[in-house]
Amino acid sequence: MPEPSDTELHLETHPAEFGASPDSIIMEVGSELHAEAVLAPPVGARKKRLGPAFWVSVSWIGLVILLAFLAPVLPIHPPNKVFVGPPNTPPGRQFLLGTDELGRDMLSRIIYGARVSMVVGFTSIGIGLLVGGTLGIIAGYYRGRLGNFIMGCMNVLLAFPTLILGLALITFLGQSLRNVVLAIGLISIAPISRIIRASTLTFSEREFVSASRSLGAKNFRIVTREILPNVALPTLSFGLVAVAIAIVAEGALSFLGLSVKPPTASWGGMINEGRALMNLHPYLSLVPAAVMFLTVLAFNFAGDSLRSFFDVRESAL
Amino acid sequence: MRSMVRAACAVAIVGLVATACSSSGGKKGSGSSSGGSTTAAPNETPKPGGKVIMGVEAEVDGFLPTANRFDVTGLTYASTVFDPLATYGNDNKVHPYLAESITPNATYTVWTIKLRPNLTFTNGDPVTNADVVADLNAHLKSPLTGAAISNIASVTPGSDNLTTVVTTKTPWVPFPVYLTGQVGFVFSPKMLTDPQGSQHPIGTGPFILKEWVPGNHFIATKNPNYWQKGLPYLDSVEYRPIVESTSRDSSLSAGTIDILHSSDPQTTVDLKSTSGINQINDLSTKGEVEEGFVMLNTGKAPLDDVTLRQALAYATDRKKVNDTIDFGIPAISDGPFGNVGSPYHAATGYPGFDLTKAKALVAQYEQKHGVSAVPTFELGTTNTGRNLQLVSLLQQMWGDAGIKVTIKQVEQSQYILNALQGKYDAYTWRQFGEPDPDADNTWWNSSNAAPEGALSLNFARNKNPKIDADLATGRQSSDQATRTAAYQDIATQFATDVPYVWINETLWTVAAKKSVRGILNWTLPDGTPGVDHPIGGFFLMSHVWQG
Amino acid sequence: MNALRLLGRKFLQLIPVLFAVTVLSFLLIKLLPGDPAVNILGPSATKEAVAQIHQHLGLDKPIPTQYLTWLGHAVTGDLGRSYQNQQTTTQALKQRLPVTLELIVLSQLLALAIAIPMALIAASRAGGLFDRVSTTIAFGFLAVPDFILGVVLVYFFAVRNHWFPATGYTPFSQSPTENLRGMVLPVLTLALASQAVYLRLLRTDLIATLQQDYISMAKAKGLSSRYILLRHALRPSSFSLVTVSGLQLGALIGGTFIVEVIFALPGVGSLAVQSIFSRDYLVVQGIVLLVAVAYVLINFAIDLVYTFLDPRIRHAGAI
Repeated sequence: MPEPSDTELHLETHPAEFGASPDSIIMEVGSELHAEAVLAPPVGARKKRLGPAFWVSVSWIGLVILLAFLAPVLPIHPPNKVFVGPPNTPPGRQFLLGTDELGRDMLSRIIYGARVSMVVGFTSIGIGLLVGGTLGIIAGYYRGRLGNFIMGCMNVLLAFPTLILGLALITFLGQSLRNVVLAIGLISIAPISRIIRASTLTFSEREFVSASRSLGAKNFRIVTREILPNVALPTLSFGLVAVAIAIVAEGALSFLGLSVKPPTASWGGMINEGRALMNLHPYLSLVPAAVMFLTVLAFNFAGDSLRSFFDVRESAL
Repeated sequence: MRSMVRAACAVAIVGLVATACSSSGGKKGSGSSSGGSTTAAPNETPKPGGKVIMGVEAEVDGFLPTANRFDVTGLTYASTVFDPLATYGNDNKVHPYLAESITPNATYTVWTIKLRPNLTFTNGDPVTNADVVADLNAHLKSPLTGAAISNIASVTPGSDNLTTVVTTKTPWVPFPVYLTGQVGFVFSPKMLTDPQGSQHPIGTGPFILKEWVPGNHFIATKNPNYWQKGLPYLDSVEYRPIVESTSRDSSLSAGTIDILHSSDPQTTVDLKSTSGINQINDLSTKGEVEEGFVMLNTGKAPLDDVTLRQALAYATDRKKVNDTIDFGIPAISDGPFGNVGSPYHAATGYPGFDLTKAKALVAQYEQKHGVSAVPTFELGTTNTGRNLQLVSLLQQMWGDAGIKVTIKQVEQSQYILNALQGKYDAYTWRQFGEPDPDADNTWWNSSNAAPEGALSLNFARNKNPKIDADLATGRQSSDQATRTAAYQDIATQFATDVPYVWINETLWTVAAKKSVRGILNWTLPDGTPGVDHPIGGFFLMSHVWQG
Repeated sequence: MNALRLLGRKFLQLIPVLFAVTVLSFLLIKLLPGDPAVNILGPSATKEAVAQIHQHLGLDKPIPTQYLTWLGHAVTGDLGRSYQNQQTTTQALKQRLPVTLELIVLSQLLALAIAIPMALIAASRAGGLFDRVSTTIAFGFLAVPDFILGVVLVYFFAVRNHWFPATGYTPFSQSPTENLRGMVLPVLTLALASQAVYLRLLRTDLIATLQQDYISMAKAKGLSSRYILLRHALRPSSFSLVTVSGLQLGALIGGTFIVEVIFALPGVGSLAVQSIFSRDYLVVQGIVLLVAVAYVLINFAIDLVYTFLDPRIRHAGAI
């Protein structure tokens, strides 16, 4: 039987599955029963290292975050100032990444767009982890009526078509960075809670938990001292992948015209605006798409490397 | 963005592009392949048979003229299964089409509509005046179309079973104009009693609805008993709604569809270098076109101050906007009437681009309201890529004059509601393509300007008694020169009131494979040349054929 | 038997989920600003006209009443009509669902057809060149948003070379070849991303399975690698594959709207977007109900499959 956390991790690597439950009812049926029946640790498994893929990815992410943070003090054109150069200039000597339709500097807009993407990515998943994570641990540890009720609510959210939920939320709240973060964050709560719950379930069955309990430790202490640290590791790696999904989700919202409002630069918005001119000036879409691509790739690689480094099967013992 | 309400057939002469015989003067034409044209050359005989697939920009709601709004796409669909009572000729005048004659009395208060004899609906029923009476009365009661023709007092049968008598409340000189559009399509009153009536059209048109899958395709086949003998040429037509204009353009380039219409100048650019495609647009139109502008809410601060509104007009470099957003293709607008060929257009003194003057006016505004009162308001638009670019550009331009603007993105359905209720400061908008300015009465009359929160069709809430007087003159005067002067005065009033900051004219393009012919050069039943070009992206399929 | 009873209980628990989903969605869309009457009337909406339409459509009643009316009709199969074009919701869904289903099923089949062989090869030489390259490519496709991929595919395969239509949908019954030709590009767009998910998942599972004792024993017995891969490794690893496919299927209904818009496919996704924008409440409700039911049924079906395939779960009660 495949191990729960693998399934979940890989399920979460595609935005379309954002509405999917990574562990579904199977886990509920089987979790109490097969948490014990987890695969035996791999025979002769080598100790994994964080390979070059990890470090390159982390460097790229670090670079993006750094540039995003320093944007206001960098010697770049103001991102929203029109006609700093002739419109639709391809990348070249004067404008490293070219200018867009309104003559705005693409390099500057991409750096400022990184601010949007990083804020959306980290904050929305942060909300998801905070709320969804808490709910997931409670549901996973306490099980019974409370656990079932929480999972029932999560089930309702998961059964709701993601698109409609997202559209309705943004339309209702209005378009701003804060609301995009809120909407994506809210939508991520249910899938994240599922994953963390499954993870918690696995650990709740472990001997160290029952040992702790027989020593008289209160539930709260067990949760924070024993379970949380163990759940945190796979969550970290999965969380990075989730950030990548959130970034792409902002792009999808831009496609519908529901992301941050103009003239704020966002990668998704730039890709969408350049889409119509693809035949004439492909770089308008492809440059921000490439940056988004590299960033999402980096998050995926980093998350995946962390996952195999912290291989849960080994630490499960 | 779907275009706003349009009547049918605005008069326009197409700028036939890149063909030697074009005499449209030095207007910047859009590219088109060389040679060949979508007209039938005088010695070419139309070939009957075949099928044409057209990509349209939206889906229609249905075919019931009293309940479903016919924008350009609506008219395109409806004109396959219905015929209007009247239509425009190439002389910019209204001619009877399904009707044999439409005649007024001396005071233009009683109109007599006489149908052609021996017309039948596609279900076999004969077409009589009872149908026309029923149709028009249904329109009067309709929440959708009633407001436009509210000047009708009564519709009654006339002296024989082909004659209908329409009595109007005031003298109504341009009344026949309304019979060229949605209100003029003759449909069987049985559609009114059918609960699915809007999906089962019964008309007299050149084609008969065969299959309609909303969102996918609409197929209509030749009407064998069509009253214009020899027409239509085609055996069937198919319409496919393809909302994204780039997808639509790609479909034509790829050969998936045969013909398309588009109000997006992008199309002109996309298809410029595609071989095997002809393009026609209404650039050099000799009549009304729709304008694109920023609509200002004059009913509330800060845009209730005319100084600020004028400042906006001076701060807008229309040429730059046109070049940047629309590739410089459409014509620039300076008023509600088409500046190329509309008979109602004249110099109005509308502000040109003058940043210094704009700043001076802003200073004046600030002096009046307090030096620290930097004028600030919200500029709203819908969610299309092009609109977002436009408002970003305007924000910067107006910012240069010292006006602070924040951008607000609004969904289409909320957009119109907000405009109706006056819950906006400034909105990008497109309108005023009515073929006769009389139909603009609804939007410009001060009686239609309601306070914020109440629904008001005068969205800009501009109340000007001079405009009201001019509108009345235009409606009731039978002397064309007087009418023209009245409407030109309205445009002059707009130039000083500035309830609308004009930008450019909406450009419609029809592009087709070279094998598709007959879009131009046809003749009305009464022998006069019909409008020989697509009007705002709309043309009659009855005379199109596959070469 | 215990397992069956457990499943039965689970099934019943899903009914309140459906109920809660429909209440939530009803409230959500009603709370959205905007008015369907204005959408129908356009700019010529006078106060009287709007009131007339509200009354005609039952929009002047209080919200709970409207919901109960809807519920009452829904349980008899009447999902109401579109405010815009009077088409019944059921009819609209009937027309659009086959399009979306074809898109999803074909794309997932293609994704599996690509992923399974690649995973088998990658797992058999874990850590090798093929493995590393395919992993990178897989991640790559995951990182490309479908609205870019779709446009690029159209540009190269429909516009530059007229191999496939750029837009449109032909029903299978009308012309099987045209139908499939028109589906190639949209299916490819979805499949390229899905295959990455399957590839990664299956590869990890296969590697884990291949490290089991019984595999070493089979190798010691002298069985060929290919036989081991296909017979001994693939079967148990396919559990998660089944899970994921099922869940993808469920999630994609309504999640295909980007592809549907770009390729002008009249599917459920584009209907959902359209109906929300025009505040066509009843159609949106119908779609939400459809997706929720699909989600619930698919989850249940996966449970069923698991129960009958995995003896450990089947005999869970016996533990």
